Amino acid sequence: MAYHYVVTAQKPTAVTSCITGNFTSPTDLNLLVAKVSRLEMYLVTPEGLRPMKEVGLYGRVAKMKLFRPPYEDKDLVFILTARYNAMILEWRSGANGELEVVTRAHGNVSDKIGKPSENGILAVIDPQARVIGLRLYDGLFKIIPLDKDSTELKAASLRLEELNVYDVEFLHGCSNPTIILIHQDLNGRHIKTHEISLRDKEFMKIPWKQDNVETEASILIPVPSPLGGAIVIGQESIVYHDGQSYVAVAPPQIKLTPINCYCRVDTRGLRYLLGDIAGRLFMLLLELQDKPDGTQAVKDLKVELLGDIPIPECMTYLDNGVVFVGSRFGDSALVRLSSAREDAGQYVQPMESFTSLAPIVDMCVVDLERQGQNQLITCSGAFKMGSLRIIRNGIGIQEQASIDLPGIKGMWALTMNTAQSYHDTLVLSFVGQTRVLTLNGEEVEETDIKGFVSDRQTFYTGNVCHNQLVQVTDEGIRLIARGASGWALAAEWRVAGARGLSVVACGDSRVVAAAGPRVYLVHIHDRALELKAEVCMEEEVACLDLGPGDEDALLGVGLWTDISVKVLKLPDLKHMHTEKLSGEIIPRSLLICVLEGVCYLLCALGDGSMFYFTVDPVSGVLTNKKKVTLGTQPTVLRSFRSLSTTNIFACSDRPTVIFSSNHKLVFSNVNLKEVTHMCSLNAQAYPDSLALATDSTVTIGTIDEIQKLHIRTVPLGETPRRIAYQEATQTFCVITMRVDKLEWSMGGGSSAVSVRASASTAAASSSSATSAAAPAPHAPKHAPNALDLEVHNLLILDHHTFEVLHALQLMTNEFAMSLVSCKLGDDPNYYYAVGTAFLNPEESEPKQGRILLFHWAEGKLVQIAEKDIKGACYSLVEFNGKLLASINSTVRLFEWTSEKELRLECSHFNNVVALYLKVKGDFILVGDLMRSMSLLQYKQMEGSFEEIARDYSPNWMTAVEILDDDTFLGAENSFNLFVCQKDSAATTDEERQQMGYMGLFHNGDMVNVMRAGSLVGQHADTNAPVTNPVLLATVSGGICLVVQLAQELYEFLHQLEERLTHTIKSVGKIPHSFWRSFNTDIKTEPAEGFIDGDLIESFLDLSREMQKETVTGLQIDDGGGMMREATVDDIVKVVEDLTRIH
Amino acid sequence: MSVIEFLKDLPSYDEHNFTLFNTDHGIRNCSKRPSIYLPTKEIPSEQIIVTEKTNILLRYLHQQWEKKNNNSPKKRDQSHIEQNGDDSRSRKRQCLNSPLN
Repeated sequence: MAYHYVVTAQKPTAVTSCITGNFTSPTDLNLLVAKVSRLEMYLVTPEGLRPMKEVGLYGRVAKMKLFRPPYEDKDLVFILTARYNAMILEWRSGANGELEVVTRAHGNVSDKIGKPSENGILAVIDPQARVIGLRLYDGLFKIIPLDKDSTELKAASLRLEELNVYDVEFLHGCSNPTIILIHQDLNGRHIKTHEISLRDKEFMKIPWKQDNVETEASILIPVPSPLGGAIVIGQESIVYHDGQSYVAVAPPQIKLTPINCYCRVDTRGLRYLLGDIAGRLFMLLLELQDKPDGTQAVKDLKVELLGDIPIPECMTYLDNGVVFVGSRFGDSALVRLSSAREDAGQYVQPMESFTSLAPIVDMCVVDLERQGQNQLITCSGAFKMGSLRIIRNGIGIQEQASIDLPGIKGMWALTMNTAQSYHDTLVLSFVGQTRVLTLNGEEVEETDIKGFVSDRQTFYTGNVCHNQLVQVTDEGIRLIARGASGWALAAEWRVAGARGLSVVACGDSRVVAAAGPRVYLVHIHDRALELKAEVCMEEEVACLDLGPGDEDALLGVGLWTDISVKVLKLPDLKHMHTEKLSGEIIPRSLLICVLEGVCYLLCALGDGSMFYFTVDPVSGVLTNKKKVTLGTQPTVLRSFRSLSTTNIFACSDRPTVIFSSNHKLVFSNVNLKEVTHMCSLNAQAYPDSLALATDSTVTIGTIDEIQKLHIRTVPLGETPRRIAYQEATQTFCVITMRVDKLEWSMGGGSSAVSVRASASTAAASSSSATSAAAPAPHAPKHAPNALDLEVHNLLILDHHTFEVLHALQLMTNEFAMSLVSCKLGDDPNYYYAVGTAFLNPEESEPKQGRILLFHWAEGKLVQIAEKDIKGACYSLVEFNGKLLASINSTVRLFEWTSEKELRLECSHFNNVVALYLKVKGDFILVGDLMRSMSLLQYKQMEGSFEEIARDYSPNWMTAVEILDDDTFLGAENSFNLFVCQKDSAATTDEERQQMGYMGLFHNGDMVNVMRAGSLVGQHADTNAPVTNPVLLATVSGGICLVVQLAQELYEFLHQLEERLTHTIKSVGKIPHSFWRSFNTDIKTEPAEGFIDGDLIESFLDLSREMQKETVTGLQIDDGGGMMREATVDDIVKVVEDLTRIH
Repeated sequence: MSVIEFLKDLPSYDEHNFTLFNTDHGIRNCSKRPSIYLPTKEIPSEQIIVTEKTNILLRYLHQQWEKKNNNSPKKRDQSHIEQNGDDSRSRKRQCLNSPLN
């Protein structure tokens, strides 16, 4: 058997729906955003959007609509999921003022029979909130009358004679609910209205209709009363119709690209925003005229281009000219409409962007900085929003300023002007000297502080009580106070004996310093220092730190030689606790701090590892000893404040930020190479910053908000399709697609012109692919004159700067399908192999293609080989020094001859379309378009393939991966994951040839690509016993991780999962088991073999009482094989470990 | 008509909204995520959405049959009951069976 754990590392980011309304209170203006299966509620404030709550649903949101019944004073939301779960949700403040989401109504509205409509689910709500209308299946219209008093909302199907319906809306101002629809028949597209009788559950009559509207009409916009009627948006024309009057316009601006979404601007319905698939924003305005009877009617429709926005999926008008644009093709945005034109005709100003990785088409996992931690480079976004995203687990520092200063041994920020709260001085200490820098605005000047020793190394300096400064050097402690003539030395305490001070910790009114084994506690008074206590330790003190608190604070001390940590207690430095650290590496830095109310003691050692404990603040006892490896060099621990929380910075060769989240310590890498020292800096010009010292420079920077995945964007401006990394040449190769406009010249020929500057047009150098036997690019006879031309390019990018070094343009009609970096045969060079297809609209599948081999050397891309193939090369993999390709329905192996030619060695034919290949040893996993996956073995001796096993179910695959020798992971296009296993031990051939199912799971998102690897550093101390991590990236921009579990852990987590489904109530009341069940058009089977990691991790977000309730009765192995009752802490520990795997 | 006229007097719910939005440092990137709502309190749903399981053809036939019955004076009483208790599905099924038998 095989057991798996699947967890989301990055939630889907594509916005699928958005609405503005008064959801959380009658006066709050809210934005509700749906991202696949998650809802995000925002509040509109003067400062912008404020996030309120995120809600996960057990279903993919197919439609989300707002409505307000007459008896409600705020808006409700109707949601229909892709699996036909309907729900009405209300957001309200609960008893404790916390926002809660109430499921007002719920139920499944699917029918047993019925053909799901090809153009998707449509859901509309009557403007007077009398009825909800759903078009789920062809020929049927389902109504849910909204009856307030009944405990049941009875949905009923009405026969809809129009089969091919493109859009439905309810008309405003009708005495009976009346729908309007666009439908298509043999003669074209028409609009038609139907009046609904809620009593008889029937369509009563057709108030009006209009045959033959534009053939591409696809959007209906109902116009509010008193005007009524509807606007029909076509590809070239816009029509207003209300049964009597008919106004049509064909604005030239909208002709180029189809409009795909709209939002109403004013409540009267005179202005609408329209967005097209090229990411342009228009405004549609209804011009009115007065009729003789005093009413108004639509006279004209005016359209104006406002400017560029992200390619929209949905839009909603918020307030004061601000619009939220949700996108599936890249970052969503908040934009402001303004009549003051900025530049180049833009009436739209971007305000805020919302990072989105969607759609992730391909990715590669590389350890770019050789830090033992992988980064993920994704091909994200499409068209003008195409980009590469560099994703790593960690935190980013945004550099604000830097100063070249080598040899820094310590750094502190001071406030000299005590009337201010800002830091204005930075003290830097070096071997044998101390330098002071004044921060004057953004300027930095060197200065002196009177009373400060500058010819010694400072061990500590800081602002202390009574507006004084303290400076600690090896000689002793100096107290500097401000007198009439400025700063001057006020008191000094010198250490007795031969040994100088070497380590120090300081509070507001006391200093603890150690010289050799002796520890001194010195109190700071106004212009006086007083030695309060002195103790001698068994060994020399290596590091120490003072805990929070006053008279009875704890002091942690790390000792040389016996490698131990002692906890002492003020005021008399009484010994409380000793903890021996294992090993021989001495402690180098110690920190006691309180994170989220828990007191920790952290002790970093000289080899980059660190122990941490929780400290009992009264007894000083250290418990919960844990060890992590942060770097390879001695580590310095410093605490700092960011966003009003305390965090810890571990300075080393792998700088790490340690913070607490849900009462657990999280270790996050920082995007800096090396940091030797750091301090918090809150200067006027650099608020909330950090000063970071490396060997040669001081950098002032701000730290990103604490987050786990750090995403950097490299915009391309065109669609990235495939990516490969080549370590030998320090480059990435990216296949991109650019859409050019065809321009017809006078001579009758045509030429492609790029629409905008993008990565391939702006490359440092460029070339075009050539072919020895180029198939004559002939214009298809019957195809319409395509105005858009897809041009495929190969980009070579520098692996550090991501600068495009070279762009190679493929031939006309040649599509690059696959890419791999490979080393073939005895050839010492690394090549990029590219598989292509020549597309001809008249052919059902490509009949021709090429495999091209390129070599990048000395800034030049040289084509080394070209192999013509009979079809599209969907996938390329390096396999035993040879090149393995899937070409249409075949899998073919090419060897690299000494003449530098690709020679076909063997082929396998048993697929419909072999889309994906993965290899391990001699085994090849093939993912088919519709025949699930199969396993081939390459017989080296015979030089042939043998089909070992196959899954005979009809799964339409979207990605495959090999987990281990026998276990294979597949993703299919109904958003499911499954695991197959080959059974080599089976007795009969027949059994051996059949792969058995070991896992079924509904992931809820379409997986585009799978790559073995994980984003967590190998040095991080992951206790979770998981193996073979695989990263999955989805169409909606989500990243998931699948790992294998041992059976015992699986069974344990399965019990916990089961309990959590009871503890955590589902919003919308969809059962967890329903959501995770493997579901396709043809079958639904309960989930098995997978643990839902998202549900497991939510255990940590539960309140302590709920955690307790959940674990009651759960048995856990005590480590020795004995079962005992699990405690909350046991479970928290298990789950925490699991959260650290991603 | 100029664009100015398109964009004048844009609707305002609260004139203060977005007034303090700071774009001095260029386009802001929203990295704040809302906290996660994890319901542990069972709040019963006021209403259940149920979907009619009857095939629309059967429903149509049933309606036709009812209409026919309405026209025949003998069965007026029964159809009267039928209309009042239209959610008692068992009774409907009995009625459906009778013409078939």
